[in-house]
Amino acid sequence: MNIPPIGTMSTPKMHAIEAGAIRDFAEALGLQYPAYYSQSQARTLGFQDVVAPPTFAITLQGHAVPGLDLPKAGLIHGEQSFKFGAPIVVHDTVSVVTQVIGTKARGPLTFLTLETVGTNQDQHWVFTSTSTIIASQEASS
Amino acid sequence: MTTPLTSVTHHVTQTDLVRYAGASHDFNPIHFDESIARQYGLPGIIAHGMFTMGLITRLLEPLLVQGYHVTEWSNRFRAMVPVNQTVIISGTCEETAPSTLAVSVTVTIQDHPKPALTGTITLSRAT
Repeated sequence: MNIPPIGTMSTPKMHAIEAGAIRDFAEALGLQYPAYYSQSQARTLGFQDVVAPPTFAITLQGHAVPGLDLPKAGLIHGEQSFKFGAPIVVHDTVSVVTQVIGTKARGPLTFLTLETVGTNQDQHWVFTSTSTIIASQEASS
Repeated sequence: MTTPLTSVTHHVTQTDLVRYAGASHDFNPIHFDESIARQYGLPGIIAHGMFTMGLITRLLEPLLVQGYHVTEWSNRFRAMVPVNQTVIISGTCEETAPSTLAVSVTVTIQDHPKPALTGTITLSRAT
């Protein structure tokens, strides 16, 4: 396991937002809000096109953070928060960067906090995701 | 005034988790391969935390159809959700400012006293 210093940031990764990916995600959660499935219904509801469910943002990640090496399993997702700006809609291209914003050790546990920020093709902020991940030394060995 | 939202009950199957793995591109095998999950000291397959969090969107859908959208959402994962368990998603809703709602949500596993997830969600709509 290796955690680089706070502030270490990935390069941006571009994500083309596709209707099929949104539909699959919404169906996997059993969602029924029509704007996740239908362009015409999304427009009626005030969106430019089919819109992504809030937690779809977790699928939008930056490239790997340089120097970040976590065990492949045995990680615990401890906390997750999102802030949302402009809606994420089909045909958007979202540029996403991930950076280390916090790290602390408590006994055998390491807490790592990553912040991921998405910006669309119009340079509008679309989301900030903050994830706290807990790794145990046992998992890293 | 705080009002309860209509709670959502969902039985988590292995099929759900395979579908969510595919849809989210999270292929950590502890979410669909029982023997690997046991190798990592787990009692068996467990749900993705983000699957459980995503299910909460169902609780919010009656608000979405009223024109609200989520502006902030924070939660803490407090316990793992094993496959083949039933989760109960319940929440309350309070109007904290004109056209702004604060939802407090709890996910519990049926017959377990401790919550698996607790969180707060802020929604707003154009006035």
